[in-house]
Amino acid sequence: MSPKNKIKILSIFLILFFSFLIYKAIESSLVYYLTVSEAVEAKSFSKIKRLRVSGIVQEGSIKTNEDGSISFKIKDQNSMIYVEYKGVIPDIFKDNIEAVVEGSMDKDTFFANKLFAKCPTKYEEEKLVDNRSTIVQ
Amino acid sequence: MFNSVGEASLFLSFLVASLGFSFLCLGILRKENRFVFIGTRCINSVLVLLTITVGILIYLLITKDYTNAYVAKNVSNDLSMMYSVAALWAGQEGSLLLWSWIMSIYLFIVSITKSRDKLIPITQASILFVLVFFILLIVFIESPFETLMSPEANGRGLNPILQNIYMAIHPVTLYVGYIALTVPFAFSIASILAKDNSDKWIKISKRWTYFSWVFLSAGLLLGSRWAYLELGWGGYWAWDPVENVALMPWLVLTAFLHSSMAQESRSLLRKWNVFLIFLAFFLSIFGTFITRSGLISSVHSFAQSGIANYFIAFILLILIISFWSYYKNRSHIESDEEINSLISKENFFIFNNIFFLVITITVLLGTTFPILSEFITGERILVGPSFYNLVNFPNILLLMLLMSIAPIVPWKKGSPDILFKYLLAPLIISTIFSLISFVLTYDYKTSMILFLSLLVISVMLKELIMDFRFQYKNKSKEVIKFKARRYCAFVVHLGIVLIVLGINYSSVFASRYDISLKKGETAIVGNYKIELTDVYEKETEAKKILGARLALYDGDDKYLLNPEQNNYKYEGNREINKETEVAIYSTLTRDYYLILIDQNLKGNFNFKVYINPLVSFLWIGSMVSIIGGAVLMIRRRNNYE
Repeated sequence: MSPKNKIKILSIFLILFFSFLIYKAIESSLVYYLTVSEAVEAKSFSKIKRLRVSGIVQEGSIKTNEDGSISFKIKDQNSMIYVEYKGVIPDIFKDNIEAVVEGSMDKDTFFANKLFAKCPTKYEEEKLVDNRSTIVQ
Repeated sequence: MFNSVGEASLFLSFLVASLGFSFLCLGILRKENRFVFIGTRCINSVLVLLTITVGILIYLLITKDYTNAYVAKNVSNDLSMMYSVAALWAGQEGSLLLWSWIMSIYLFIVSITKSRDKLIPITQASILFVLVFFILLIVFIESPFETLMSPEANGRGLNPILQNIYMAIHPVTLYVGYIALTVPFAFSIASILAKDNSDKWIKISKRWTYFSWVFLSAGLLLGSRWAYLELGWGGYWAWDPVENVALMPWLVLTAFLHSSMAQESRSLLRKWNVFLIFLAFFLSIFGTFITRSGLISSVHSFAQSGIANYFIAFILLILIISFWSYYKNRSHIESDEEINSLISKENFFIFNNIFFLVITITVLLGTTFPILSEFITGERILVGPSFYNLVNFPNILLLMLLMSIAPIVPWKKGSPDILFKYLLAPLIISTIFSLISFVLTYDYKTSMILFLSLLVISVMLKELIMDFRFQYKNKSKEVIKFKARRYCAFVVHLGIVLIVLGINYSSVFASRYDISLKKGETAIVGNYKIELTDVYEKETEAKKILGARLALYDGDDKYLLNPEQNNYKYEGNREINKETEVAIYSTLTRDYYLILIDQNLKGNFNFKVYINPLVSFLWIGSMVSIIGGAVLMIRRRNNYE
């Protein structure tokens, strides 16, 4: 066999190996990204193990427990879920921001082990909207 | 007044750049040098005009002229001079302007060469084409010179988590690297369009590729350092989409730096190299697009804006142009030579490229997975960090294996026997140490990484020792001098090994504890004793500070840590009002990383304690690699033959 063909066969073998690995890795690390309403519906079918849910933090719902864990509610237009979380709380986490929680759903409680808050640069446009409407070119 | 001058010079730069592009095209098509000459003059003028524009925007930012919408949005009265300048790239409009300005500098540098090579005008035109697109975006869609009718007395200010020295320079560093990729890309396009079947473009643009690599590496380093110091979750890399898009061009560029050596030395892999540099360039534009369009949600989530569609159109246009020219002139970039042995440097470069590309594809797939899955299944599914770790681990091992063997394998054909003899001593040393490590830790992954790290290092040491002995015996200085470039590559490799070790140990052997203390209390966690010695509250003009002083005892060593929690009083700083100041005590062997969470209802203070071993290796390794790359770049001469 010529060296060129050997290299080709070896490369194909490697690529197949990595394709398989990527497939396996995807399978084991899947996280479903849902809105609050979808997550409430998804309760019924338990095959989804890991969920990531994004919603707006309900005003006044953030409570700190004695062990340092927090509980709060996130909502969208139609539904709301109760979240319990223990871990580092992002600096920007507070009422009325968009929060993303990752974890699993058990009955009506979402047990999160990851909490993200959408970075504030996203909001940079909001406050200036009123002012900007008066822009003169 | 200044505002209008800025706007005018920006618009003028757009006109002049378009004009220059037209003249260059005309000159290339009609083969008339005087048109090329006019085009080059236009390029110089664009640089001058954009410099004026950037200067004016910086002036407006420093003088805090809140009639300008961009200034009002990004700085405030209490912001220091340095961060006011940094606000130039805090927002979209300013970033795009900075981007164009840097590109015009590069274009100018390409233009001042005395070479009369036929590649130069086409390269100039290609870069100018990209530049025109960016200026167009700024002038018509994202102008930093919009004015406010009723300016407020104070601006909204810079996001406090961005007020950090690393964050201030990290985006610029990445930009400098990203944009530099345009130059080798333009040279490769020029080489294809000119039907030039030499390997000239690789040689001319080599220095640019090193330059880009150095700055991309530095940008990645600064970014992860910032995340580690500022974000307060104890880590430095989260596989966040924004981090990923910065990593991808780096990966492809690294692959290119290796495979282009095969072209320089043996005229091999010519098509492949063109493809790689295309890919690196596209990934850099794609990265800008992803981060700037808000297409993929990320913790960074930049402002969504109307530029997404323009970017898509631009990417498609460039894709079509480059692949069309590639396809049309493909016979001119055919390699004459062939690879004739499995054990040869050129073949190992191919494997190196496969592994780097697999990592790139993995990262790309992971980053775009939510979009792809939504498109195909209608559900948004994402992959967690374990996806990247799972796929990349064997890749890293294989790359390290190559890193140890490939440098000592000759071009064309190597002999397995000689190779084995050479490797025998390093293999024995590495095996012994990694077995010891396995017995001590029972962690087979760490032991494998340790084995390969030691193998890489011992092979390099062996070569160095042999070279010095040879030189000593023959009393000539030629060997060491002749191999200087090779030693630089060794330095880069050594840095990479340190990075891999640092990442491995700090992620596998990190320990995390939650503690809750009253003033004067002591907690014992693991092998450490932590005492809360003092708690204080301070108030400044902008914020309230809650701070704690702790003493951490590790055996006989005592480390003083001072974590703080800042609460900003006004909400000018973009909705953010809480900021955690992490306290870190770094030693060579481990980092003591402490966060003050809050005060709970009972009056206890909650802390998170992370003990991260060998994180220092990551920073030191990165510095070593970057220095090695920088020396390679400086030593490299641009040879226009």
